[in-house]
Amino acid sequence: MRLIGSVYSSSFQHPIGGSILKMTSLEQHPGRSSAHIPLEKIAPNIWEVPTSYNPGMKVPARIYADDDLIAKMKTDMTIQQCVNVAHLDGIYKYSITMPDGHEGYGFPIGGVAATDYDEGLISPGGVGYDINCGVRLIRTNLSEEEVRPVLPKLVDTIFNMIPSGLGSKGQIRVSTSELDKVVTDGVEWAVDKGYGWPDDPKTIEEGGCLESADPSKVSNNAKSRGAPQLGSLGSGNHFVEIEKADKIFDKPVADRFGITKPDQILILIHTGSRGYGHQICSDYLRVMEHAVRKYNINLPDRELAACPANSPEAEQYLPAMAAAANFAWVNRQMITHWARQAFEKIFAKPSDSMDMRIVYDVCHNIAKVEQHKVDGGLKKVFVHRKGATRAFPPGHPDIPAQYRDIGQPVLLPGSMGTSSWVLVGTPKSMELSFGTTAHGAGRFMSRSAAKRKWWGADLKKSLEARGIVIRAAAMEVVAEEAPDAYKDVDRVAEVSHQLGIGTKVVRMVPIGVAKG
Amino acid sequence: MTDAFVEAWGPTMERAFAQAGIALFETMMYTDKITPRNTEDITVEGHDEKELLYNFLETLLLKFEIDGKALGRFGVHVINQGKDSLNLTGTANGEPYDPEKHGRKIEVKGVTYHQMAIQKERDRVLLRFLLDL
Repeated sequence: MRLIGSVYSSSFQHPIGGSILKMTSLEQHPGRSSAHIPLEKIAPNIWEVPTSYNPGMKVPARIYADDDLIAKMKTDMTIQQCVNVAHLDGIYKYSITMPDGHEGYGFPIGGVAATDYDEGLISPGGVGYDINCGVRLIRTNLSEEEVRPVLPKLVDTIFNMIPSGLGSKGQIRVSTSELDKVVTDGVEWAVDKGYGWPDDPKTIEEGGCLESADPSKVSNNAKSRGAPQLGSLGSGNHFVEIEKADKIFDKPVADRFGITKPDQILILIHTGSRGYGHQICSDYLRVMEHAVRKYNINLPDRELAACPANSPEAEQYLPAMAAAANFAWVNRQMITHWARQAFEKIFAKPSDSMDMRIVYDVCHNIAKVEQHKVDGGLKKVFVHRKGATRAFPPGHPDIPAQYRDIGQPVLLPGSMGTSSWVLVGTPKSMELSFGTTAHGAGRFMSRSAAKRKWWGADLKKSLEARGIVIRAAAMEVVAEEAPDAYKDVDRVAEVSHQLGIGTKVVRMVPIGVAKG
Repeated sequence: MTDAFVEAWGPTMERAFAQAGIALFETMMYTDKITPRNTEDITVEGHDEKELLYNFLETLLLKFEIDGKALGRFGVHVINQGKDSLNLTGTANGEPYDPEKHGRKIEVKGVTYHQMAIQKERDRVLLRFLLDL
């Protein structure tokens, strides 16, 4: 195996013998591609690997992408991983990869799999390390014209009020016993403590609380990691952005979401369950490693580590996962509260007078119990969505009452300096993707490659020249999150729209970014 | 995928593990800025070498995440086969993490088994692993 990619960190000389450490990245790794896998284009933007490709496949592997996006997926393990997921016991219809799909851990990022509620497998790898990583959109009644003059001050205030970056800790301290209450009650806990408005939970997926959460299934390590981090953004691709509505594609639906005019100011929050969820994932991957041996589960890749849905291991993982999901919703809720406070401070008026309501909050790393039509009948399934967003159609009972007749809002964050999207769920998503669409831009270039190509301070200048104000805890992260490092989010939204699994409502562009 | 793919090596398994520890912290901060003021004892078990490496790195990550330690120097004294598992004992040197002094790079969400490899070559041991960022 040959290594490409330059030295990421420094070299270390050991006193005896000398040893060097290099970092490169997965996407850059040679000799790993999916180019050899037979792909059939069965319709525009729909590709399939038939079960005949590998006798272990229970269902076909299906990828939703245009020609350019599929070409990129062939250069890494994305399609192979989609094929691997098709091996899971109890999987229905097809293993799916979304247009923003890229190589992940076991499952591809952008992977969707629905497994039988009784006889399927549950895989923490199909949820991911950052359980309930997700996105929240808050609207305002302000226009760009009103915000522009105070933008640098506003972004500074948000950046200072919301802890971000490596080792960031929340402004408040909760004990581990209080944390158990946080993850049991979800967003209601935050609202009770004054971090939000009574109506806030209504426009959050699941009302901001999975009832199945059980903190007794969560390790002390996870609790110790999580407690100080509640109400913090973290680092990497997580951010708080001030957006302006750039183009409205579906006026009636946009009006219902409260986005009524171009140049309207919105706030987009992207973060997850922090160390709490990361540790739960890590703890249960270890449990699943043993479960695979215990139940003699045959997997093409050990990283798919899974257990039967009706096993004691699943009975422990799912309530722990739900606890992490609730942590993430509370985390985004507290960040919402501080974002409102920042606006109050700068505009010297109450946030409700600025109509700072939550448009919606989606999770894009989760496993959910849902009912879906399979072969004409209704089946109870676990839908794994790893880097994929629920996109339920009009009329679905799980959609907040106020949106039930128009469909569920879907949020696709882009990257710094590029657009983000509001889509809406459709009946087609139930037919094609278990009520799911993409989750964002998807990484196109490795972090280390991005860092070689751009330098943080230059990038900051070029963004600021385009009117985007950015504040970041680490300039290195700015380079790693360079917009060109991401797949074109407009293209991803277009594929979703053309397939009809989530149709275009509003395109937003950032004017201010605060990140870790 | 948001990740760091790491290769670390040394003349012995113990020294390669020590390099892996540096790699983990170098992903998050500038390890050359860490003053080795305090010493932490590290003991880890694993049922095979890969699990030992996973558990070693996770133990170190938790020293940062829970105890707020910046660790920049590692001495892995011995890795030996116990009754049912491999055992590692060693030390880690560092000080409380100070973003002003040690810098802020990227958070590590977790250690993974993805593409993990432990290769014993003629004159060195090579470790490969991926950190989820």
